[in-house]
Amino acid sequence: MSGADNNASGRRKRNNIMIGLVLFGFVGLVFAITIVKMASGPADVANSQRVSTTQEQTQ
Amino acid sequence: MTDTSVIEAGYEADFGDYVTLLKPRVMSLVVFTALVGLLVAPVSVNPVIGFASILFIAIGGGASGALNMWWDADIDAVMKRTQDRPIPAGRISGNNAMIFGLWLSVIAVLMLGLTANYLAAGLLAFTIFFYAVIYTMWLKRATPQNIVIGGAAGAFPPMIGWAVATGSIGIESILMFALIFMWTPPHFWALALFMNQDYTKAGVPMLTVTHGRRVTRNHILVYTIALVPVAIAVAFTSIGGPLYFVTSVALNAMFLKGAYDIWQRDEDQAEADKYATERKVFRVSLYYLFGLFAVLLIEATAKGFGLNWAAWPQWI
Repeated sequence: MSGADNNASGRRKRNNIMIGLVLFGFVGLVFAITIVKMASGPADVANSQRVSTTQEQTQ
Repeated sequence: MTDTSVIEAGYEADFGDYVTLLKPRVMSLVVFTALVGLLVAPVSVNPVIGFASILFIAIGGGASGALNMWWDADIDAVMKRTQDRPIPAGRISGNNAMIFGLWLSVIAVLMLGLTANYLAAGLLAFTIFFYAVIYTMWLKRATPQNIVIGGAAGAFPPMIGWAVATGSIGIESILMFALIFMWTPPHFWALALFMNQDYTKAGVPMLTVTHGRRVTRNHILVYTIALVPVAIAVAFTSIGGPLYFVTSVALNAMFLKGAYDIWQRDEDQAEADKYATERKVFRVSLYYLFGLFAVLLIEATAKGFGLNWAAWPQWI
């Protein structure tokens, strides 16, 4: 393999690692946002709906 | 250069080239002003939501930068300052830049809507539209008032930050918008004074090109005078205070002095020292905006620690 090929291969590897890190970071961020959202307001609404459904079933 | 020729020539874009498409320096100003807008708001935001929102605002700003580079590739290729950007340099095809910009815009707006609220997302969408379509595709090549109206695109970030926290638009966020809006023309005209050759070569109808440098110098002074009351008015809102007032008076005095110096000079003087004063005022204008927003942040932090200026008037 020539020096130019080595260089190109190394560059591609670096680019792939960077893209991988960005995607991994994005997934982690969406996960964190989901946790925060679930722990705050909307979760209460969802819980209250679940409770009322259960109450309806009981009746 | 077409897509095929980019591939045939054996170029391969680096990760860094795509970062360059996002105009990181412009993005840093977007991030900073949006962050201040978010932090000075009277509502506290969960740190994860705050961080994610600022990130999506930054991505949205970057996306509009990529769309701008795609559309303006022909101008960038002519101008010395922009010749090495990824598209004119042939490292990224125009088509790839456009797709990249569009996808990032969609992701940024949707994610900001899901993370914060739809008002903030709507403002971000409008900002991207305004910068990419109204400014880049229309105003920039059509009128010497391009940066006066187009400056609105750069003025939205603090308003978006405020909307992330409060879910609304307040007088404070309107004044922060107005501050950047009024600051943009003298800032860019100072740049245009010493980059005039580039703009002339590229056929961009900047005020310096269409009306000459003398008229531009007059405009810089008038717009800087008009900026002063807007900047000082912020001191008398809920986000202002005596520290902001004192700093803004000092910074406005500096900026006004610079604008006056520019106004006083003629072309012979400017040519003789290679536009030293114009370059200096351009730098001062950057410190000016950074300084004002930094002090707003300090005021907010001080209030966070319970340091309220009870006697300070809030007229607005």
